[in-house]
Amino acid sequence: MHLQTTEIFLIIGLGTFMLLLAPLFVLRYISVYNSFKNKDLEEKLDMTQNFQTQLVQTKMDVAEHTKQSIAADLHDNIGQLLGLTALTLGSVRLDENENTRKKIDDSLELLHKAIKEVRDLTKVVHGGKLVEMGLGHALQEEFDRFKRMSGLKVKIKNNLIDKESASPEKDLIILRLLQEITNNIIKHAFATKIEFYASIENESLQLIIIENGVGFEYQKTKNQNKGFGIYSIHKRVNVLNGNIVFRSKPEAGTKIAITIPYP
Amino acid sequence: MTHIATIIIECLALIASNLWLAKVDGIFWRFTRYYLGVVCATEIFAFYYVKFYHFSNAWIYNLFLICEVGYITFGLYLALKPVHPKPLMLSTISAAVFIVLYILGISENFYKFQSMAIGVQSVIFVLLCHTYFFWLIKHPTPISIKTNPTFWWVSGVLFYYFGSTMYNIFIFRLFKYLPIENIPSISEILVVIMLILNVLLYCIWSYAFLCIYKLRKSSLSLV
Repeated sequence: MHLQTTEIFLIIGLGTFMLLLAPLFVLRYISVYNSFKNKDLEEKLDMTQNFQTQLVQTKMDVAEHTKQSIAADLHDNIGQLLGLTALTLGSVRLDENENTRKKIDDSLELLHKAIKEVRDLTKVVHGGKLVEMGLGHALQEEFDRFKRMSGLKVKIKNNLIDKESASPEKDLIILRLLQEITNNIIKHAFATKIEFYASIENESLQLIIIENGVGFEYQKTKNQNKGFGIYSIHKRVNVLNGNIVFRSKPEAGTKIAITIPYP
Repeated sequence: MTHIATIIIECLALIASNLWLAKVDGIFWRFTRYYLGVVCATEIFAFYYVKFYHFSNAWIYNLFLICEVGYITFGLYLALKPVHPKPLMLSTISAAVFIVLYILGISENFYKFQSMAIGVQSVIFVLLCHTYFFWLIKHPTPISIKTNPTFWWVSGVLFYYFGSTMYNIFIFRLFKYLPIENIPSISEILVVIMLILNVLLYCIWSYAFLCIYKLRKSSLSLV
């Protein structure tokens, strides 16, 4: 069978055209794939930058909050104790031996209390030192401090005691988060009983705090932007890619459940 | 006429390379300028050889094949190097296949164009180009396609050798089955196809040279 010249022309022309189309499709595919890869990389970069910005912001918030906490502690605890000591020492009369001894003993007791408060305060300020021993240890210190200071009935179940520090930065944010929550409970909850549970399951840290205080309407407080504390707590949990659930009703106490990917 | 057009296209590519690659460092781009010089010289010499001596110029193109395959293999090796784990192995296999087929071909008849060697080599080049693109996709770092000279150089190679497959099939296998009276007109269309492929190749390569020139200029302005 002999092909006509026009038929051969067509075969060669169309064949070459089709063969030229193939690389065109290959290049188009690579171009589209590459632009997706570019977009993906940009998103990752944005997320990293966003995380770093939030981390810096949170550190600044934490520093500010710590300063406020120190000021409050100095004023409410140490200031009161030292003031009382000064008053007691001021009322000492050297001619009344019996009374003098009692007053000096009282003053000594108050000074010891003040020294203990200063030590506790130092621990709060040096959160970085605390987390060096591991998150479990730092949380335990904070639970114990809360127990001593609040005078509430406290139940603690801490399964993290033996865990080593995984990420000091993350641990410090978790510790500050707990301090923020405990400070809010002392200030606003008027609770008489509080429970702390800390554990790690399936590479996620679970922190549960249950108190029997006055409670609050979570959504309302959040919507009205009343609670800077709640905003700050949420922000810290978000920085850690975690999740926080508040369950509270007026006069029915509050349960706070925090889940954070860990380590 | 088509031969003259091909020579003009090749000369324009040579001018573009000398214009945009003149001060570029890097052995391959310097080598490109020399290669395009050899391409132009070969094409002009082959054209006048036929015109004056009325003999087949296939032996000239047979000699030129060594330069062409050497240059393209070297370029593909350098393109594959940053993205593929074994670029040297692939390039060596490619070169070895060509050397074997070429020696077999010229030992049979040096004055006959080595269509078998270049036909098989075209398929290998197409495979190497696809390997480059595949590994480029797999590579975690995206590239700026619009300004990447290596990408465009390989694209030119892919268009030229993929597009010339039909040409090679006809030259190597189907030509002898054509009726004698059809051969001149079929030859004419094959020459036109080669002209189109040359235009594509040298336009894409010239764009690659322009990318290099722009990159060099922008990097100098940053100093």
